Amino acid sequence: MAFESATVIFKDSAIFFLRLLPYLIAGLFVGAVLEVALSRYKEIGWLKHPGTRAYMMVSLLGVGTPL
Amino acid sequence: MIPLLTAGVPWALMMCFLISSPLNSPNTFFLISGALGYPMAIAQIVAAISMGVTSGWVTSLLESKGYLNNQLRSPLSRTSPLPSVSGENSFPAKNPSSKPEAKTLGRVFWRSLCRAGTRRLVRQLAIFVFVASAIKILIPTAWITSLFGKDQWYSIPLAALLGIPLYVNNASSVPVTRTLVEGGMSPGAALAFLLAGAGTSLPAMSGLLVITRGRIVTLYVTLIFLGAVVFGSLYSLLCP
Repeated sequence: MAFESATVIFKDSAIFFLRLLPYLIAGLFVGAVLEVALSRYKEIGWLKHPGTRAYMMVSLLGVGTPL
Repeated sequence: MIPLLTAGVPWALMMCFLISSPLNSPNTFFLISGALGYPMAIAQIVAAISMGVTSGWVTSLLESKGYLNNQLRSPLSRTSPLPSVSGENSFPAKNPSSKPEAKTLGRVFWRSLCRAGTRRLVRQLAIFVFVASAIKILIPTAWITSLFGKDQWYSIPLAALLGIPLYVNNASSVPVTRTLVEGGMSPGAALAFLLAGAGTSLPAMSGLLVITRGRIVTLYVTLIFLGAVVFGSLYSLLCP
């Protein structure tokens, strides 16, 4: 019984891991695209004017680049 | 982040970045898509941006009332003003000379594939996929349903509260959350768990505690918790 459970756990894990791996690689690729694309916003002068537009832009930058 | 803080960037903008950045990233988006489906991944990204903007408004209000003065830890101080920008057109303008090149993109992608953080992420994913499979067999679904099921009014605040200490990172928590959803956790509670957990994970909190004082940390945790509960509840209503 314990052996059967362990086999099921290993099999489930391997299938799920292999299913998630392409998503992880896709995430890394999109991360690289965003890193290159967002590098043009390095200047911080525009941060001087807070407001909804600036909050939106900072949030988008935050979502695109992990802390 | 420290150069921005010492340059005098307002707390409102810093809070926007601090809140939205750990909540989502390209990795998180794709991992959630693979494990929990695109609706959950899109909800997480919408919640991250909305929470960022809302935290900007709230922080701006508190900042204008003077509640957030002297909240940067010494020896850091907000003494030097931000460099002045000429004219009104100070919002980020696209720099035509810095278009992404194929070579640069390839190099950045290769670097991100090879770095130690990626290897650690894959290792953690493998370990926690195994842990998630073990949870599926070892924990009765009745327990999960009784705590986080759709019919429990407290499932979303409880999931958000548990996300604060239990969340390690996205590679570890996404497989576990999927197992909990399969075991009867409501999608709203799952979103609240992922949002609260990511915002208050160890890397995000340790960075914050090193450079800021109590009021900023309290405001940050409150905004994350409330945002997780609100967006978890909204998601429960929209995608039951």
